[in-house]
Amino acid sequence: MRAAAFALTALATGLGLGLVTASWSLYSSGSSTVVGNPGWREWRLAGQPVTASYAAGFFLSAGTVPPAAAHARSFFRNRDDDGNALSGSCVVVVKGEVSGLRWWSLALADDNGNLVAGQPVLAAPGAVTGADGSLVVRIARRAQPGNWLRPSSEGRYSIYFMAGSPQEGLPLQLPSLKQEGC
Amino acid sequence: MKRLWWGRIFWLALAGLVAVASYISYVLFAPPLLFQRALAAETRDIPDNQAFVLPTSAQSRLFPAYPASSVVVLCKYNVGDGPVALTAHMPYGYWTLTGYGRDGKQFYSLTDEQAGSADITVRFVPQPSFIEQMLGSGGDRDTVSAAGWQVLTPQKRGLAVLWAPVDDVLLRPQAEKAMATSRCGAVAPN
Repeated sequence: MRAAAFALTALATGLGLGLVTASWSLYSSGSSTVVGNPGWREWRLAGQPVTASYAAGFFLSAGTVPPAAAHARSFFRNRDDDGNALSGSCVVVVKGEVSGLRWWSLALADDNGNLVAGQPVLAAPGAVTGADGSLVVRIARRAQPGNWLRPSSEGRYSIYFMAGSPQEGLPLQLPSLKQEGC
Repeated sequence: MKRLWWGRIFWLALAGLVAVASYISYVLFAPPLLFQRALAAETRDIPDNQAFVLPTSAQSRLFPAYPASSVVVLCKYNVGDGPVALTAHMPYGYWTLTGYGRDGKQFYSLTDEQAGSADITVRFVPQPSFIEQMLGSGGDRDTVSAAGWQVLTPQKRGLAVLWAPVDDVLLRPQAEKAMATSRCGAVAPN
């Protein structure tokens, strides 16, 4: 009887541990920090085969089609430039330069980077950009002037940026994130 | 006392083994299975080798990073009975074609710039098996089609995705109409 209890405990512990670490490693092993763009992580879908498998696994396990790595790079972050967690109760301003991209999209995801159907998405060429290619987007629950993304709740979220066909030779400068108030 | 310690070590080792086995199983098998289930839920009534415009609701579930104004055409290809041709009619501007295996891994990608035309035909051809490669056979798989692009698929079944962003949601019907004329089907044998 005692042995059976030990066996069940060992099986349940092992199974739980395995699944939790597997789920976590899809998230962490498939992405890495981006040189020159602190705060951002990139899904390494076109990297080493093992890393790319983890990155693809992250999207596939959410039931979504992984972004086409050959012509788009995918980035995410869940904190602003000052290290504050992104929260729906605050106004966050995203500023960037998108003139070097043929296409881009900015989407809201959950705190773990999971893209969920129906989350707001802003993308080229539907967004308003400056003549110099500058982009300003405000993320807030209340209506904002200009480009605006509305989080679905006041809870934490992350942002997902897809850079489509970046011009070769140009250093990729990802948008900055600043909190404007809560 | 010594027996008690060995007992503990045994149960810990068992837990460790189960953890490793479940980790490997999850990482290897869960993502493709979950993806196939999600894809099947969205495309249940669509037969293989047929191009179709993905409804916006399904698009937002399978491609949540794409805005609702963009248009996605899918073809669930099956090269089990021979090559499949995808003839794409795309709107002017940026568009992409991506090939995925049954497990959701990408193996092919093409953009408007690379294609140089908004109307292209891509033939999906099964990759020759190891024995076919050794024997040097494989029929017309070995020759590059002069009529368009030819792609070797790592798996017999998979997904071809045509995608085009549209400036304005009001222009979507126009782009959808153009892309809906895209065709996917088995290549008739010569």
